[in-house]
Amino acid sequence: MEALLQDIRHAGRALLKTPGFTLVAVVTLALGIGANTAIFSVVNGVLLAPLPYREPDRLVTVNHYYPSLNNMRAPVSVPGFRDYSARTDVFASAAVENSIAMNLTGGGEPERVNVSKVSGQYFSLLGVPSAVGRVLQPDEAEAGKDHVVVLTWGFWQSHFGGDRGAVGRKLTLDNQDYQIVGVMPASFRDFFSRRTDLFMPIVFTPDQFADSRRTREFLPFIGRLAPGITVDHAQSTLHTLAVQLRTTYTQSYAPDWDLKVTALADEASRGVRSGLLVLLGAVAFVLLIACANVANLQLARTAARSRDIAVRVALGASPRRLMRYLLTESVVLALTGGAVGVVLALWGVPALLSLNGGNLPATAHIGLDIRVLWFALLVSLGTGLLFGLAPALQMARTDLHESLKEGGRSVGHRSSLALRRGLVISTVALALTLLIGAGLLIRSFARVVAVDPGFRPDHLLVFNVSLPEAKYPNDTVRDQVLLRINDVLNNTPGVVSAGGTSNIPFGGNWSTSSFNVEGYQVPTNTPGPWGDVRLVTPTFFATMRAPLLAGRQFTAADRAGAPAVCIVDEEMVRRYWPHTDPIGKRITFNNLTDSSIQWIQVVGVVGHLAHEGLDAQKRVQVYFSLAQRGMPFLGYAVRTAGDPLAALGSVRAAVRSVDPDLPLANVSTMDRLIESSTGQRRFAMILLIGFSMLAMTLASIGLYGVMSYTVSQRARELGVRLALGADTREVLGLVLAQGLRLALAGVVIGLLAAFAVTRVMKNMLFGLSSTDPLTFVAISLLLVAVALVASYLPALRATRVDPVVALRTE
Amino acid sequence: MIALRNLEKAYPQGGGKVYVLRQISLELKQGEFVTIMGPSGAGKSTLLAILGMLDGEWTGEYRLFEHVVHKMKPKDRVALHKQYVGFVFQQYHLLDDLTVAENLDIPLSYRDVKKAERQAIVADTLDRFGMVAKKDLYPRQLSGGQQQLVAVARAVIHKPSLLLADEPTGNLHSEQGREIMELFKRLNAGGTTIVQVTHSETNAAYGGRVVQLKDGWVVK
Repeated sequence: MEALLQDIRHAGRALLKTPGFTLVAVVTLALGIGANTAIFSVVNGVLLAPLPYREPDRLVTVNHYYPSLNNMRAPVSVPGFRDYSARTDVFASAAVENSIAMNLTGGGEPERVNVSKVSGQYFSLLGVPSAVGRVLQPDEAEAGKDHVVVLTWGFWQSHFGGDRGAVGRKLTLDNQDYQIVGVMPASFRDFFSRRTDLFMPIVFTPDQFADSRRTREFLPFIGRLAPGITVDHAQSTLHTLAVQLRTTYTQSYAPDWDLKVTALADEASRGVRSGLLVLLGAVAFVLLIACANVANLQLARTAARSRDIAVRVALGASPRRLMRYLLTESVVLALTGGAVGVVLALWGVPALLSLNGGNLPATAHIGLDIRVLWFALLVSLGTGLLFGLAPALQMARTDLHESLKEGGRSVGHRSSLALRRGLVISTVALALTLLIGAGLLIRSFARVVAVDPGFRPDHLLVFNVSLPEAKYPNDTVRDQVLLRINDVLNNTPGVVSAGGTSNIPFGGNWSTSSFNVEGYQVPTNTPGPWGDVRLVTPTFFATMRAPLLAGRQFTAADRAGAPAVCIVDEEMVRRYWPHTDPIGKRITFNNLTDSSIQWIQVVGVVGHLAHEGLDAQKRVQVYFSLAQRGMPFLGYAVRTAGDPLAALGSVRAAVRSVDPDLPLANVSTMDRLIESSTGQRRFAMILLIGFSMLAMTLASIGLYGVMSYTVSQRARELGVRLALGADTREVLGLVLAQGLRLALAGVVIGLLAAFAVTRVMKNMLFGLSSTDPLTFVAISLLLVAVALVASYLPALRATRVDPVVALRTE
Repeated sequence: MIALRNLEKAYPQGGGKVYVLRQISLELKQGEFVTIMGPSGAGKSTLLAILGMLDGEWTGEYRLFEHVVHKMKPKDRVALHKQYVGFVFQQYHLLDDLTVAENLDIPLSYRDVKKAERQAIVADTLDRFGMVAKKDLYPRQLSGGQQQLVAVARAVIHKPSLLLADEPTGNLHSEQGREIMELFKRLNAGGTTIVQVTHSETNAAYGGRVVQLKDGWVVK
């Protein structure tokens, strides 16, 4: 221990003696370790940290699963919730929730708040006690007892300033009073929604349990597995149940419909896991490059210190002791770099999260906790040992006798130079692999944003309006008000046109349904027609500038009582009426075996409107006239002449002119919604670009270092060449060719590595293969060009070698 | 104490070998002060490095006391070196980052001597060599003679049986050189076997036997 402390002391002193080397090495390592720490803190928060619930490894979610409908997973239905939660052989308890928005009034400005309606066992299942007051009780999920709410910590702080007296007070939501009974702690997260403000009981009416409602899938399900039950066992039991259900209810379930049980922790990371692991791999590459660069610097330094090392051996240092001394020096360097890296990560993590927006799971607590700090420490130690190994091994090969005879001059070793070249080749290869990964993401991103959404997204203001049931009790009244708002908006100054839809494109909500197409024979063992179903006002398509391809738009005449009509998108025509005129064709939501069928006639065809994302797979789209079906809420799209947000005041006033208690919710511009839908891609792309640029810079610095060293080693040879009449161009070419050879070797290895590695990115790409030739070639050329630039300065220095001085030095 | 028999050292060159030492057979008794002399390139320093076990690439036989060095593994040779050998170089080779006291401490530390004991030995050596006032100075703050004094002190601090000195006064002016040679004489009188390499007849006069090398051969 005492000897180790002595080594540390001596190492620290030796490092301070060469501040230039120490600074470059610490900065290089800090960038590598900092990047790893920052990304690991996200991985830790999303993939490793346990969910903030009691015994989280026993929590699962159950989804309805449709393999032949793009592997769609849907929440469960009310009858489904009853059936699955009754399986006490699988679940100790189960709960569902339904996230809705409600109008909060009575406190000044009307406001839209996000409410999670939860079933009776929700809080006891999650096992998280309230911070103030109490949680909801199971018997409150009954009509008459359900006007109670529990606040989230954030809502309590923002609306009551953390006043404990809030418990017991009332909130007016959708014109009805609810009593506040408790506040959840700050650490509590609603698993399915990061925006939840309040929790209230969900009450099911008897008709919601009807078998006809088996495909009304709107309830995310959480179950706590019974003691001793594994996820696999639960999956197998529920699969058997699914087979029974689809045999019993053939009209409700598709032939391949199934139930999917997923551990809640896996559900939390679904969709982000592979991206995060790719990023973790990318930063590991950056760290390896940093290691190779510092090892290279250390090799040069060790060569210069061969006399010191030889003296230590002559004084009795055993190889082990010497190796330990050199490794101690590397570890001290790495720990210093690690400490600076952690500080960089402290700044970097918030920046990282701001890039990612709301795409990470609601339950993730991302920050530098003790596990992240341990990671940083272990990475630093590992890094120190890794880059310390090369100089330590080189030292073992040092000819001590020669070093002592040289009298302190650095001794160049052929094997050392070969090692240094090998390190540079590997950094170029690693950098190329990363750059190709980033290039693939850039090309994918360019292809995604180039996708035509099917409408003009510019100058569009979008928002939602919801009508409280207490004030607007039936569909007729609600439709009138929603259409009235539509009219008022169309007559608002600054508004070019306005239209409404049940689901605003890119708004994050969607609703799908199965239906039947007249005359269409569903192939055996495949599900029938299924797609997006939306209600729209007559002005919706014109406002969106979605092209009408055939037939007509909806009109005011398409109202309740008039013949049922629909407009379909071009995708629907392509699938079901590819070679015939779709106008006049009919669809129905009834079963074809029903005694009476309500047919809905196609009156128009519009272009496909991208909905969930520019890169999402297309589903067919069917539109109905709002006036023919009731809706308690509507999303409005308002096309403005100027800046859409500048028109917000007059738009808000227009809605208030219909009902002053109606708040506008989810106000945004369409451009912003589309941008947000590409957030995850942008996040991965920006980070990979950043990391690969860092990698390229480090690799070129490494190449520069080795070429400079080579030129200094070859000074005599170059001097002789110049003395013999070589012109500067020849010397320049000689050195550049050497740099180019190293770069090309790296590029060849990097290309092979990229062929293997980019496969893991397949799911992150859009519209191009993971071995896209253009990307591979372009990035290789870019790297070769950068390598030539990095070799140019040493080459230029080579041309300035003074033959007389160089020869005299020898 | 030391017996060399047919010791040879060669470097590969082209398809063949270039010999640095040829068929060296030599015996050194304990307490001797031997001088190796010869022109540049004769192989003097190489022979010294082999005696000190800094160089392990040679053929022939080498016995040190009862130890059969030529049959030993490198690890065991390191242990033997630690036990018996001290080195003094022409260029002093002090560790620039360490103070005088720390330079003296290093050989003891490499021999796993306990800290308290080391401190006592270093203090005693500083006193014995008259360097107490300079113990916290760095080598660059000392004159050449002072540096070589520290180097000799460092070489003998762990009480080696064999002190090897390669041109110990080569970088010193005559007065400083004389002081160092007087010191060697005292050490030898105290029982330390000394082998020095030198070009100086004056220095050779401090010792007993002179071994002459030429082109790798012992000529006298």
